[in-house]
Amino acid sequence: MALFPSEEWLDLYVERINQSKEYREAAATWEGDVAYVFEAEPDKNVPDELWAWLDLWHGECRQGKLVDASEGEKAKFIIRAPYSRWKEVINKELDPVKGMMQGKLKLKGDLPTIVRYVKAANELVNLAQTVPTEFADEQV
Amino acid sequence: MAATVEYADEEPNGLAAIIGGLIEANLQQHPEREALLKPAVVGITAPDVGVSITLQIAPGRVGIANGLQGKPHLLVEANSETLIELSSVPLRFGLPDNMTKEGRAVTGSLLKGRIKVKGMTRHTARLARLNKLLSVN
Repeated sequence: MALFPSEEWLDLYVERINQSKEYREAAATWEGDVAYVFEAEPDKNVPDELWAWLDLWHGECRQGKLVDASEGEKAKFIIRAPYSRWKEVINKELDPVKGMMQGKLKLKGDLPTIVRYVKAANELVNLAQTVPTEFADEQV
Repeated sequence: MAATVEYADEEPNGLAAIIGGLIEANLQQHPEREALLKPAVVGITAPDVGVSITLQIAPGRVGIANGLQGKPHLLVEANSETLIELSSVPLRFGLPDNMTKEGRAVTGSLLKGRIKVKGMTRHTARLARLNKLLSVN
């Protein structure tokens, strides 16, 4: 069980990505890094904004780590939402495509590329849902 | 002069941001698509998320407003995931290519009512231009 958001959670997530045959196939030609921004919610035990950076290349995650905003902003694609929205996504309470349409998740990057790889993007989200997670606001 | 994509609302909804971003990137990457910008008003609605937009297309400009406004030539209605998938469907003469699996799937969805396009028969040329404008292929 890993605390979300944390470096430990991210390590488990990267492991899941690299073990996924479905992701490897869907993202076989994908080239580009992605940053997830978990916006701060101090009342939910997330006092600071956190940036998770994933180096995704041809169906593989070569590296994943928490980075500074200045580094994360250089990513080819950035998905941003408050911590509790991410929690909804990981708990399968919010479909990411619907969330983006509703403006609950904000996406920055080349839209045609995202649309071409929507299956890979969905698989990334599915994999986040498989990580045994303890949420920051539910810590005992 | 490059075509512009302008948002009518201070805070465009998510669908407006996605469709606007798609058109903007397509026009940058395929400048020849600017020729597709002929007068048309298009409504797009995703009932599963309760979000709609109106596109005002004119030479050199695409205006995007939140919600459905006025009387559009075309009104496209589909769930959010299908709307995204529509942009990656291979086209033939601007319409889904039934020679491909993806094209046949869209035609099937149209026949089954999962995708509704009001004005499709009257404004076929406008629909073909819209499809090409949004296509990521």
